[in-house]
Amino acid sequence: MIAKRVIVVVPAYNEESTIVGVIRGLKRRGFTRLIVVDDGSSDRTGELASREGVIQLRHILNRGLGGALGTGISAALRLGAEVIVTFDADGQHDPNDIVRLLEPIEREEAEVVIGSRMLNPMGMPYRRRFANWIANVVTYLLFGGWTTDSQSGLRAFSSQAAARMQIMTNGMEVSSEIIAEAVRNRLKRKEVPVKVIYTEYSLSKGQSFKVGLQTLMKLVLTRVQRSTL
Amino acid sequence: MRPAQFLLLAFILAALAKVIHSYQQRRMPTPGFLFWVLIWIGTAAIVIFPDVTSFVAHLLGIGRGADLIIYASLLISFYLIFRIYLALARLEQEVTELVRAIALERLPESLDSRSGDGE
Repeated sequence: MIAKRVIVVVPAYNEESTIVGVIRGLKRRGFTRLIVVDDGSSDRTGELASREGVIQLRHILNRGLGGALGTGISAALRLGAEVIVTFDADGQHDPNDIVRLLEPIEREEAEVVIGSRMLNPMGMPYRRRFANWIANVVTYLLFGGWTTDSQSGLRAFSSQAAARMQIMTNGMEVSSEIIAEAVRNRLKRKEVPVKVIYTEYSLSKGQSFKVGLQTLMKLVLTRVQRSTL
Repeated sequence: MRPAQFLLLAFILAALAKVIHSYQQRRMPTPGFLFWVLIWIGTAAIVIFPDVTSFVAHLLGIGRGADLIIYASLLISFYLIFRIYLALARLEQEVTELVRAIALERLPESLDSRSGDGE
């Protein structure tokens, strides 16, 4: 079993139909230290999360995935996490996969572990696979870190790694920024295959073509900004 | 003078009046005031003596004065857009920090004291 103190961060924006199931699934698997960041949802996401007896932090304005992850990670660090796991609130991840993410950190083989949905992409539509591949190439070209799934929401960091990563972006581009920060801080990275539970719901919550293009644009601008810092 | 010059000069005068008014109302700092006064006086000079641009254009190896104006304005516009983009990004980041600070105010001292028995 995992010896370290693990805190799971769940960024959530308008996920009232899945949030309770996600929280209960994590608890059932033994992950009881949970922080749900309600990113200014207009539905009952935050209220439902509070009722489940987890820590629920509320953004009074919607800031996007990057903003929510940043809040969750700083909260986890303040609460003395040794390992921080990020877990999407749309129900696409399997809590059973977390143990596999923690093992490389326990064994000190890696400080940043990405749960890759592409090492075993069964059930992922081809259009998604292609879009993911483009995102991987862009991430590699801009930030120099290759992953098979740069947009995965299932990740684990050692607390030392999390403390060194500076997350500046607010939106979906944060996923690539995390890879960029791992490269910049020379953190040991590893990928492990994870399952992806694609339902009609989780598919509809992913990035549309338009949002994908916006993310791409923001990534280029992020790259420009990072070089001027 | 051509009609176009009159129109442009009228516009510049209105812009200058606006700058001076803002400065008098103390809504503009002195460096900004001097910058905009210089910009508009410079623009007025170019409108009154358009041949100046041809002279400078020839010095730079650009064919026509009008082309020089277009190149220069494009360059300045892009630069200003980039500056605005940076300012916006900074503002976004500040809003996030504010929202984060407010969210973290509700963070309990320790996790174990309140969770784990939620079910």
